[in-house]
Amino acid sequence: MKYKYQSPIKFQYVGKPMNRVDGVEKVTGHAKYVTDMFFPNMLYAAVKRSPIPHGIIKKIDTSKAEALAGVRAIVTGKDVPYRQGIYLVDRPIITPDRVRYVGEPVAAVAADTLEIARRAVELIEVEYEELPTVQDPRESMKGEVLIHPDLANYERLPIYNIEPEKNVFHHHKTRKGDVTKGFEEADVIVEGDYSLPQMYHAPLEPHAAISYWEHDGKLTVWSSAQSPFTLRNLIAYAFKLPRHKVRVIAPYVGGGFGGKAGINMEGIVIALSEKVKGRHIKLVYTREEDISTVVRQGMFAHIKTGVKKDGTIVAMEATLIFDGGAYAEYGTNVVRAAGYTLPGPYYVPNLKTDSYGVYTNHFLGGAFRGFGHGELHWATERNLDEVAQTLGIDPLELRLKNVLKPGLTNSMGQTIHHDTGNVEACLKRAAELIEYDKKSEQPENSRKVRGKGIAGLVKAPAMPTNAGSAVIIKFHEDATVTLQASIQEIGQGFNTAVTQMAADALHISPDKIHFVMPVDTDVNPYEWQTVASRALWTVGNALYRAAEDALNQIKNIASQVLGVAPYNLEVEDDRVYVKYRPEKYILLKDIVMGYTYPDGHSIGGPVIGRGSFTPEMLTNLDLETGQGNAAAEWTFGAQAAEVEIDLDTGELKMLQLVGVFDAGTIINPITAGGQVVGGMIQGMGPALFEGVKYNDKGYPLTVSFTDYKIPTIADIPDEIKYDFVQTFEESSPFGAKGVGEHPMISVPPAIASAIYDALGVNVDELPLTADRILKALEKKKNDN
Amino acid sequence: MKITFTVNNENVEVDVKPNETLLDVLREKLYLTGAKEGCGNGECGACTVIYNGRPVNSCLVLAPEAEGAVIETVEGLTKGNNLHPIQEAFLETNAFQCGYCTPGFIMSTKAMLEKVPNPTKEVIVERLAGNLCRCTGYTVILDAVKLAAQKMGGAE
Amino acid sequence: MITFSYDYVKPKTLNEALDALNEDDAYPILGGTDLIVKMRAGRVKPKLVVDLKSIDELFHVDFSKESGLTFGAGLKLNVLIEEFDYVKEYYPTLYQGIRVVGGYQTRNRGTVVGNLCNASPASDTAPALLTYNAELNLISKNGERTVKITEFFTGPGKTVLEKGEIVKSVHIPFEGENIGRYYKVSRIKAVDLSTIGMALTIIDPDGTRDIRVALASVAPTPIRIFKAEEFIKGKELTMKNVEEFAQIIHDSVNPITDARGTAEYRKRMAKILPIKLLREMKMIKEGL
Ligand SMILES: Cc1cc2nc3c(=O)[nH]c(=O)nc-3n(C[C@H](O)[C@H](O)[C@H](O)COP(=O)(O)OP(=O)(O)OC[C@H]3O[C@@H](n4cnc5c(N)ncnc54)[C@H](O)[C@@H]3O)c2cc1C
Ligand code: FES
Ligand code: FES
Repeated sequence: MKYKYQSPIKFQYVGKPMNRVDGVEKVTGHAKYVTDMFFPNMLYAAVKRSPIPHGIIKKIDTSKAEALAGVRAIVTGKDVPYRQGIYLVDRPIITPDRVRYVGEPVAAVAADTLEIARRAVELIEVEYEELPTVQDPRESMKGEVLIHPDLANYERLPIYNIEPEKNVFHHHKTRKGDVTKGFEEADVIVEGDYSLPQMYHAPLEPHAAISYWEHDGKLTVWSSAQSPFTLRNLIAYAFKLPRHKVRVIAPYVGGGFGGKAGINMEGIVIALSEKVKGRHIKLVYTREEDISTVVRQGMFAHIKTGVKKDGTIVAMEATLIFDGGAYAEYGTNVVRAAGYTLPGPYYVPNLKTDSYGVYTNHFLGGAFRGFGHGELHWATERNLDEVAQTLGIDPLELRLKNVLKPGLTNSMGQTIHHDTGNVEACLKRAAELIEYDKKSEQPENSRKVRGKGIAGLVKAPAMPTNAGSAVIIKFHEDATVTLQASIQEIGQGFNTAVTQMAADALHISPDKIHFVMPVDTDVNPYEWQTVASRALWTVGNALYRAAEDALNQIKNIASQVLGVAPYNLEVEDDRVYVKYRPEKYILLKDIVMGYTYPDGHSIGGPVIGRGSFTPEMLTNLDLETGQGNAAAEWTFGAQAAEVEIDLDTGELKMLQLVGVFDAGTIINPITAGGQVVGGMIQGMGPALFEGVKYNDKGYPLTVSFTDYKIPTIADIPDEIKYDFVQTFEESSPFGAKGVGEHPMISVPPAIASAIYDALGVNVDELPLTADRILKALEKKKNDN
Repeated sequence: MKITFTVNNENVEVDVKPNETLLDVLREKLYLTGAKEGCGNGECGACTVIYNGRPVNSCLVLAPEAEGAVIETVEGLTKGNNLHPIQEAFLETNAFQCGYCTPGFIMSTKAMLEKVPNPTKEVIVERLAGNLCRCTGYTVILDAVKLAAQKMGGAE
Repeated sequence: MITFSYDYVKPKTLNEALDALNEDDAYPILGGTDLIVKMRAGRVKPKLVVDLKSIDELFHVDFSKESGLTFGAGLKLNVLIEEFDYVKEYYPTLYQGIRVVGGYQTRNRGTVVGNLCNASPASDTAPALLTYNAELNLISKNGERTVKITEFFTGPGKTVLEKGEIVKSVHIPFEGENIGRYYKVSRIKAVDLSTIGMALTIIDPDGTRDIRVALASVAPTPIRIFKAEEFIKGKELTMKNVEEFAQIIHDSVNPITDARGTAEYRKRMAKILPIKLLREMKMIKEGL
């Protein structure tokens, strides 16, 4: 069968730069976030937190707090004996009996003012019996201290393997080919250990929610949330409410990066609302509280790769051990996604991966932009560099030799097709942009050295097989349109891109389309979540269906009026016309509310287009082999870096960062570029300095922006370059897929590679601090 | 206690407590919510306002300290229904994503351009380093500042 | 938002301020960039906050080559370096130290005196002031006294200031032509506390060449390393001598490991930075 795919859509607006539609509200300071919302007679909430990393709650005395004037409600874990969790239900709303990390909520107060609420919190007295703690997930797997003795009884999706006696909340296994045989065939085997600490999302807006529970049982929650519908679902589940009695409204979100996915702190303020119905209660986390709310998991990896002399990879064996923190919840799927994506964008015929998610007494590890892929690529890309060094092959050449290509299978046994994406082109273009074939020019008369490095990457959305999207398109009297899709605008520019897509799907201009904000679960159509770089793909499909539905309604009415078959009609701009007689037309405004004949009799009715989509052809993975169809589409990419290192101090300066991604059709180069540059800088943070630190007893040290540092404008590279390879993704009528997370993923290995190029040393622990670089240099000197 | 100060060219009298910050007063009493609290500790710049001609973190000003001060917030930038050239520049360069940091950056930029109409990259970096942005990676903000400098140089 | 209540006064005269400061748990405030942060965290809980910013005397600035530089406690960090060119011209190390305190907004509120009274081991203005032999003029109800900056700090967060006593002004003698560097190693490139900071000032670089060195974040207080200075005094700046000079600095510091860096790295930098700075200032006789 020979076929050539043609998009059903003619692109007029898609692919062109269009300024963001949310601009005016944001530059005037008028855009309202949850923190900016006030209601009459509103109460304020504050949270009492555990000062210790692990212990049993012996007693909570709230009497002094209750006595404080202005206190309206106090809740402890006993009042809300519910656990919550999207994949594994292991996380109490407020812990009733045991604390598992410093900062864990143990009680909450609602009061007339924030000041009173915070004072009341200080007056709550809690007695603990301290328990031994575990910091290192590798230690934790010995099971000497059990963090969740009840793990076996927790509800979870059946796609997860728990090992309760080892503190393991998920053990993902990939078994492909025969690794023993593979390693026998190898000429060279290179293995190494790679690690990274937990990382904090640091959105500029901390977590915030307002809850209002009416006496009739209806609960409304305004939340800075990435996933209004999933949040509704999890709230309803935890509080045992019917879905239609829970309404979630999500106004602008001041940055999410995964930290506002699923459910976070909303349950606490809802629990207070349950006690004070009929009044709004607002809970806004301080930066210090926000840092202890959710982080990216830390990881220790061991990778062993067998290669032929010519660089062909024949086998790989990998162990990833994730520091999942005190609760797994969402993070369960991070462990799985990293596990099934390993070895990244390369073909490895014989593969054995074990990815473990392990509880510790650290902050809980959840979703974070990249969803396990930044972690796994740190290990595999570093290891590939070390393979290249051992073989004496250029690291880029090694990668190009092993990239996934059409006809080959990935780790899950899925076949790569011509439209899957082109990592080879990404690597080559990234090499071109950084002039990889030319060595770095070394500064003269200076004790500074420069080097370049490159790395590849791949990521598919990690989502349930039924993660659905829906879109509603409503026409108004003047043929303008409102578009409802419940993807949350978290800064990524979705509302701009979807406006362009809708314009092309409906053949009308973007200025006639209004994207409805905020997302309101009572009003909007369903959407699983704004995560996983999946919105363009799933919503793109749903949107196309909704547009077709609306256009069909329009054509059906016009067909009656014009006396022409619907398939001979075309909608364009302000009219429906006869394809073969364009001068014969009717204006949209005259039919989108139904058509009225001169004598007054009317046909049709208001046009509302409706489209729904769930990912096609996905299956669960076999729990023993990891084989199956977990990924629907992939975005491939490559990143490169050039650095300059001060030989005296080890200080590193970023000269260049490069990213090239194959995300299919680029809907809007402006917003896509924004994702790429912003993502690369967010990837540079954990490469160079970011990381949550604890002392040896489990007390966090990086508790505010004073010590949890994120990049400032002074830290960005001298030059940032990016480009897109646009392989049309045929499972979407727009040919588009996500690029939101990918720019973060392989920045750290690209930088580590550049450090090796400059100094000839490997640093395999993140972040790549001056201290570690100097130590590696010293070790090299001593070894020589 | 009562204090009076000027905000966006208007004299206001507000009842404050010594343990409130200027940011609390602007946001919770005057409902000027453009300035945001990103940290409350002087680290993020989201609360930046212009205070007697200089950009400061309003989270680190006690309310009573503001007695007699002349304060500008992002809400004061639009004249009539017209955007300020700096706002236009941020719009045209798409120099924001989630927008939470944007009012702070705009106020830092305004204070800078009033003193240094044509700042070098070095000056921009020095004066904006106290404003964190987790979304954009800053390059578009550099573009916005340069464009704003051009626009304001042209206009005045 | 601060959780506890307290009173606030803003006296117009020093006398009134000193009276107020004699009350229990009264704290002076200048820029508040340290004090408010600590109050918000509940680490200090004043009953009375005494705002010194309406006292004219604290805003006096004066410079001549004969009498040196004197500036009042109220002077904001940025005002000092932006509006008084002689700071940059005659006290280059101090100018550099001030410029790397926090962000631009921090420096629009914060003061040198607040930075010193906060007595953080990581103070970025103290090392330069140590190399310039600054003196602090203190005043209380009991009268005035002058304290050398080398004797001002007694521990982390601790100074010789007594109850009710404040710093009124800072005096820095002008000891002649000088060059200098303040080098700050930090995790990120702006708005960060130092992992280590080093001030190196050379008075009369082409003549007697009096080299002074002081450090931040390597000891309980900012410290000047007189022993190293004495060693290098009058010696040729050969690589060998400079290395020994650096070794003495290294041996004189006693850093800890914290979120900003390891003791090991700090110690290593204590030795490397003096060589780096002297090299960059082109003071080392290469080839010898
Ligand atoms: C975001 C941020 C970043 C920072 N970065 C740095 C940095 O990089 N390097 C650095 O060194 N510092 C840094 N700091 C700390 C701080 O900004 C400086 O120490 C500042 O110079 C303090 O001055 P201030 O006027 O604000 O002091 P204040 O906070 O007003 O006072 C500091 C202390 O001194 C007392 N005090 C005030 N005036 C007097 C007086 N006249 N006599 C006696 N005692 C007095 C106060 O009671 C208080 O205990 C940073 C602070 C912030 C918020
Ligand atoms: S809120 Fe003021 S600096 Fe962050
Ligand atoms: S745009 Fe989101 S923090 Fe700057």
